[in-house]
Order: sequence, then structure tokens, then C-alpha cells
Amino acid sequence: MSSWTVGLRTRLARTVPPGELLPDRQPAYVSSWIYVFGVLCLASLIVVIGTGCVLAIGGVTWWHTSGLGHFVNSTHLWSVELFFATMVIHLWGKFFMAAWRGKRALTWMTGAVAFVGSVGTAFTGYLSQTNFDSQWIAGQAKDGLNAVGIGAFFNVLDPGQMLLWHVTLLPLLVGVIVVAHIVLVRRHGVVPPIDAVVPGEPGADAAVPAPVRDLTTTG
Amino acid sequence: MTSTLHRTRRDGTPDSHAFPTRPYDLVKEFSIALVAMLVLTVVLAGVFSSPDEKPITLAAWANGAPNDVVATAAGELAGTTTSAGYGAPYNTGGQGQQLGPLALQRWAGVTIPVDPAQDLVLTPLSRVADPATRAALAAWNAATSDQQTTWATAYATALGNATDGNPAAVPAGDYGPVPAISSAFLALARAGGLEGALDPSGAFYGTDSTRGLLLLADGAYLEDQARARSLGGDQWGMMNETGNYPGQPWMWLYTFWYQVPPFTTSDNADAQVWGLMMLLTLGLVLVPFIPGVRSIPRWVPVHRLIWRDWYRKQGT
Amino acid sequence: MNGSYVDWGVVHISVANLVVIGVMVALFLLAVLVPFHGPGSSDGDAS
Repeated sequence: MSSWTVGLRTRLARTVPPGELLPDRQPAYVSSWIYVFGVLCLASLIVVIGTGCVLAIGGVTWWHTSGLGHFVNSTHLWSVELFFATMVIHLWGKFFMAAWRGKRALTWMTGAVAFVGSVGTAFTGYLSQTNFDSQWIAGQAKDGLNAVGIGAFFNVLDPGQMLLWHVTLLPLLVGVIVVAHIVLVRRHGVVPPIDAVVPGEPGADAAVPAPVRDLTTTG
Repeated sequence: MTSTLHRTRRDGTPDSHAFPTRPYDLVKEFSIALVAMLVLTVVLAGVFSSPDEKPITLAAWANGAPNDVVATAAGELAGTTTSAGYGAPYNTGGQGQQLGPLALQRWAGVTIPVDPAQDLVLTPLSRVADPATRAALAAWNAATSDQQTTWATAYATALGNATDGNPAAVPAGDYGPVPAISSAFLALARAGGLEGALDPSGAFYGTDSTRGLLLLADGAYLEDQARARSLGGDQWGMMNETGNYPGQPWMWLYTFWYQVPPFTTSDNADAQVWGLMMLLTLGLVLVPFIPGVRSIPRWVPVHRLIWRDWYRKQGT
Repeated sequence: MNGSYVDWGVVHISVANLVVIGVMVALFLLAVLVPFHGPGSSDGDAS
């Protein structure tokens, strides 16, 4: 009888090449400021979660009556703005680098899904403000969601439901997707430049221009 | 194109691990990034703070726009409000929207039952001890359904025609107990008696604001306040925040469709825009597989700037 | 209570959102254009 433990351990060990989970070297072509936006986005996400946890200490309406609570709410709002800003700049960079090449389609896809999931998480956050903004957003959003039947089980007019989705279900979902995204980056390594050839390989020094071809995931 | 060409090194993206490397401290970079974003967050929060406009209580609505409250109450009784004709998931008062042939709204069913006249007006009012109110409610309950509709519709119409919708300016007519009910409803709202009185559980703890929000949205006051702040659907409202704060710029494409035909005049705009955005979102996720789109990076060579150090060193 | 807005054709955008988007575009351009001189970036050893 084969061991499930050994099987899982082996599978986990093979997820990322040895030494690549926390590498101390990077490819020489990683030489641009555009590369910092991925880590800035991840750092922002940590601040978003952290400030959210501090908000949770005081409770749902704490920030309406406490100066400290209001400040913590402000840190949560601005870390979210920074999170989305760095994420989108990271997306622009990765798009123009065609970073899905070399079997990295899933990296792109998990990133895009993380973006969509983040928008949904932010949305439930806006619904949990217990102020005028959340009243209006709920009234508007219900029409969109009801129109396609989602409102039948996801009631944006119910702050009790929306808050729990915001602080548990959606962060967990987004968290899992973000972890998958990062593991995939570590697994495949940073994508080489378009038309790059490994030095020493045939064609490395040639002045022959690269053949014009579609930037496929297998290319 | 033969299969051997596809397997040559020139046609494939090389393994990133085959390239020259240099030392790099991943954990240090992450730590610096974390401190930087924390500092930036604290500074932005300290300088700009965050908006917090108080919610509109039903009492504030009643005191700020009493005629609107009376008109809304009459409308609930007449079955002419948005809630009354909404359809699923609240009731069967309307067919709801369709996405082409798909009646998704109706198919999802009535899972959050709300009878606007009963739940939003009559039931809260039934808890009032005032004899005049009780008499008006008794007269209403004793009448036939057709009679109720006739009275309420006549009064709602008369209110609409009156100057400023003022009940005092409504001409005499056969409105039954509707004026008394509407005025008692206004008095109850003004006194704060409606706050928490609309919770469906009727129990001590209320966390579900469905009914209160439906009632508020049936009036004009909430929307007036929102439109004054550019939060309306046709004002790119989905992107905006109250005051001078940044809102949700990432919602730009979702809200864009509401600003242009045919969505501006479509009865099914919400369903159609949602369907379109689901399609475009799928397109974003599947960019690596979409011919043409996936080649834009080659046609718009930003990558030659990003990797210029490498290209220069390699002589390509 | 309303913030400041800019109108251009069908576009109606808050100054705050415009600033955010402008800063993002500026950061992207800077990131792509500003030279990057990381440690040992001029030489690389094969791993």
C-alpha cells in the first residue's frame, strides 16, 4: 500500500525546482523597475489584510465613532488603492512582456482571476461601510446582480451576509489564488525576454532577426 | 510549417534557468517593499483620511423630504413603486430582466420575499396604537383588493399632480383611508419609529437591511442625494466616491457601458452589461490563447525598453 | 458635498480618479524608462 504522505511530500517537493522557492539568484535579464510592482502588490495586500484585522478588533461601526478607528479605516482604504494601482501596473508590464510564454499561461490566468476576485472582495467591503455610500452602492448593485439571478442568494442589501463574505470567504479565495500565482512564478521562473536565446546556444550571436510569429504559450 | 520547426529551440521560449544569473535577495526586497507600502499607507491615510457620510435614516428622510415619504407610502399601497413591480427575488410583481432569451432573474425565483405594501408600510404601521391610524388600517383591510388599488392609485396620482407633491394641496377625492395611512406613516418615520422596524425577523438582533433599503430606494430622496454626488449610474457613478476621494477607477469599463447606447435606453441594461463584462473578463483571463491580442506585445514593443539592457548585451 | 469633476465628451470623471490614473500611467512610464542598475547587473555568472 503506497503512502499518501510520501506521495503528497513528493508532489509538493516537485511543485517548484529545488532551491527555487526562495532563490538567491535571478536571471540577468531581470533588469527593469517594472519588476518591482509584483512584490509591491503583494506587500500592499499584506497591509490591506493587516489593516483589515485591526478594523475587526474594533468592530463594524467602530470607525464611525472613534478617531483611531477612522484612521485605521483610512489606512485600509489607502492600502486598497495602492493594492489595485500596483496590481494594474504589474498587469500592464506583464502584458507587454507577453509573460504567458513558455508554458506560463496559468500564471497569467491566476493573476487575472486574482484581479477579478479582488474587485469582488473590495465590492463587499464597500457594502460593509454602514454609511451613505454603502446604502447607495447596495441599492445600485442589487439591480445588476438581481438581473442575472445572483441576487437570489447573494443579498447585497444584507450587511450581515456581505461583511462575512468580505472578511472570510473572499479573502480566503483570493489568498489561495495569490499563493497559486506566486508558486507558479517560482516554478517556471521569470519569463525570458521576447526572442531571447540562451548565450552559447545556436543563433545567440546572429544578426538574423527573429521570425515573426504569434506569441503563444508554447512559443 | 512542419512539426520539426515547432520543436527547434528558436521557436520555443528557452528555460529561464538556462540563463546567466546574478545574486539577489528576495526576502530583503520583500521586506523593503512591505515597509515602503506600510509607510505610504500611513502617510496617505494621515494626509487624506477617508470619507464617511452618515447613512440616511428613515427619520432623516422623513424630516428632509416629507412629501417624498407620503408619495412613496401611497405608491407602495398602489403597487406602483419599483419594489412593487420588481419581480424576483422579492416578489412576482414583474418579469425582471432578460439576457437575450435567458430569463435568469425570474428563473432564480423569489428567495427574499417582500410584499411592499404589507411589509414596508402596513405591518410597521399596525404596531402604532393611535386610534385614528388603527381605524384607517381597519378600513383598508376591510376593503376588496380592487377597491384598495383604486383608492391608492387615485391618491398617488393626485399627489403627483399637486404642487411639490404636497398632500395639503391635493384636491378632495375618493381616496379612502390612504391619505390617513400615508400621513400616519410619515409621522411614524419622523419620530424614528421605522428604524429597525422593517427587519424581516422581527426579532431583537437585526443585521439584514433589505426592507429598509428597498423602501428608501422606492423614494426619490436617496437617489437625489446620490446624483448630487455624481454617484448615479449614468454619471459613471460606479467609479466614484463621495467628496473629493478617489473611488474605484478599476470599474471604468463596467460603468462605461451604462453611458452609451444601446444600454442607456435598454430595459435589460443590467443583464446585458453584466453579460458583456463576463465575456470581456473571460477574454482577459484567456489572453494567452487569443490570436492577435496575444501578439500585441510584439506590435507595440514596450518590451524592447524593458529588456534593453539584455538586448544590448546580446547584440540583438 | 460633491467632489470636483472633469467632463470630456461622454466621459465624466472625478479629479481624484483622474489623478490616481495619471499617477499610475506616470509610474508605468517611469518604471519602463528609468535605467535600472541593480547589484552586479552588468555581469552575470551562469548558475
